Amino acid sequence: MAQVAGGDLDQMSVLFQRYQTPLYQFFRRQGQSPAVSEDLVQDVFYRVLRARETYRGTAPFRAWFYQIARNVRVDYLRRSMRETAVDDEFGDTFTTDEHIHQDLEDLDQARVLRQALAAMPERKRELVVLSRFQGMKYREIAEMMGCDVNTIKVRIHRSVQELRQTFLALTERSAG
Amino acid sequence: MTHEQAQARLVAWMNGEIPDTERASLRMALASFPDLAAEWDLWEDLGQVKVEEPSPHLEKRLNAMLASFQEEEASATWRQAGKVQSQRGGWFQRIWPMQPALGMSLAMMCLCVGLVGGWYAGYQRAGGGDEALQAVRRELKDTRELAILAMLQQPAVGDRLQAVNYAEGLSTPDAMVLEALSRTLLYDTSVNVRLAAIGVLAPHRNEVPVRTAMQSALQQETSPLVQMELARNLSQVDHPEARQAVEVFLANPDLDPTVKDAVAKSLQVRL
Repeated sequence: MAQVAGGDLDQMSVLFQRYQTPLYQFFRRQGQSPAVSEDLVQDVFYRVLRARETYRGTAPFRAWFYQIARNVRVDYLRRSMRETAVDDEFGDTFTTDEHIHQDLEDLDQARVLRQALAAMPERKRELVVLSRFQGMKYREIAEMMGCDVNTIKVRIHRSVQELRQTFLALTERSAG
Repeated sequence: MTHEQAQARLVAWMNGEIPDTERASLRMALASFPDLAAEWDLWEDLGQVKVEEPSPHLEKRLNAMLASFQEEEASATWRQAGKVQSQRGGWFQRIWPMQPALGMSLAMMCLCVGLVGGWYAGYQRAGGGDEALQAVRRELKDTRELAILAMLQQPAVGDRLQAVNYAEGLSTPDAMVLEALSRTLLYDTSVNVRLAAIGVLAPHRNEVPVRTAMQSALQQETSPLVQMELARNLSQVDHPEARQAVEVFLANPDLDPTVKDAVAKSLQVRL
C-alpha cells in the first residue's frame, strides 16, 4: 500500500489479489448478495485509490482498509433504503438470508448459526465478523473504531454471548 | 482458575493470543465453567459458516476500474499542466479551452449550428428548398455525433451518461457511434452508463457488430440489471448465436437465481 500511496498504481493489482476474496466475504457474511458484494468490493478499491495519499504507513493497513469498507457498506445501506424501487425488481434477494445462503452447505448447525448471525444487531455482527472471520486483532478493530482495546474485548465477548443465546433459541425452535 | 481469569483467557484465545500448545489445557480448564465452554464451542463452530469466493470476473472488473482510474489521473494531470501553462502564458492561452476534447466539440457544435443556421436562413430568404434543409440536417447530425464521441471518453460518469442520452436522440446513429457505444457496454465501469448504452443499442441489436458486442458483454457482465437487459435483448434477436449466448448464460450454475427466473419468466425461454 505504501507503494500505491507513493504513486505506483500498478501495485494495486497485488492488493486486488490479496484482499478481494476476504473483502467480498466480509460483505457476504453481513448479508449482501453476491452481485452487490462484488459492486461494493469495487467501490472499496476505488475509494482506496482516491484516498491513497491519506494512508499513513505507520498505521495498520487492515484497520484503514476495513474502515473504508465499513463506510462503503453504510453508504450502500443508506442508498438502498432510499432507492427501494430499484431493489424491488429483485424482490427480496438483497435483503433476506434465505437466498443469500442458499448455495451454501446445508448442515443444520451451520444453517442455524448463519441465521443467528443474521439476526444479530448490525454493530455486534460486524464485530464478530471482523474478529472471527476477517482475522482482525482487537487492537486493529479498536483503532478502526476509535476506542480502546478493552472496550472491544468486552463488546466482542458480549456479542458472542448474545449470539449464543440467539443460537440456542433458534435451535430450540427448529427442534420444536 | 477463577471465572474471571478463565474468561480473560477465553477472550485472549479468541484473539489468537494463546499458543496451540496451551489450547487443549485451556479447553479442559473451561470445562468447570459451562457458559465459557459453550462460548468456546460456539466460536469454533462459527468456522462452519462458509461463504463462496467471488466470481472470476471480479478481478477483471477491478483491473478495468484501475485502468480507467489511471486514464482519469493522466487526464487530470494533463489538465493541470495546461492550467499552469495558461497562467504563465498570455491572454490567448487564458481563453483557450482547458478540456479540448469536450470543450472544443461543444464549441464546434455551437459554431456549426450558428453558421449553418445563418446560411440556411439566408438561403431560405433567397428562395432555397429541400436540398438546403437536408444539408443543414446532415451538418447538425455530424456535429452531434462528434460531440457524442468526445463525451463518451470523459472520465466523469455524468458526461458519459449525457453522451449516451444524446446518442438516443439520433434517429440513425453512425457506425462509429454504435461502435463507441458497444465499447462503452463492454468496458465502462458504471452500471448506469452500461444500462443506458443498451437502451440505445437495442434498436440495432440485429446488426452484427451490436449483436456480437451484446453477446460478449453478456459473458463478462456481473451486474444483475445489465445481465437481465442483455439477455432480454439477445433473446429477441433472430440469430442462432444470440440464442446460444442466452442459453449458455442461463445454464451457468453460478448465475443469480433471481436473474435466471426473471429472464426465463419474462421471455419464456426454455431452460
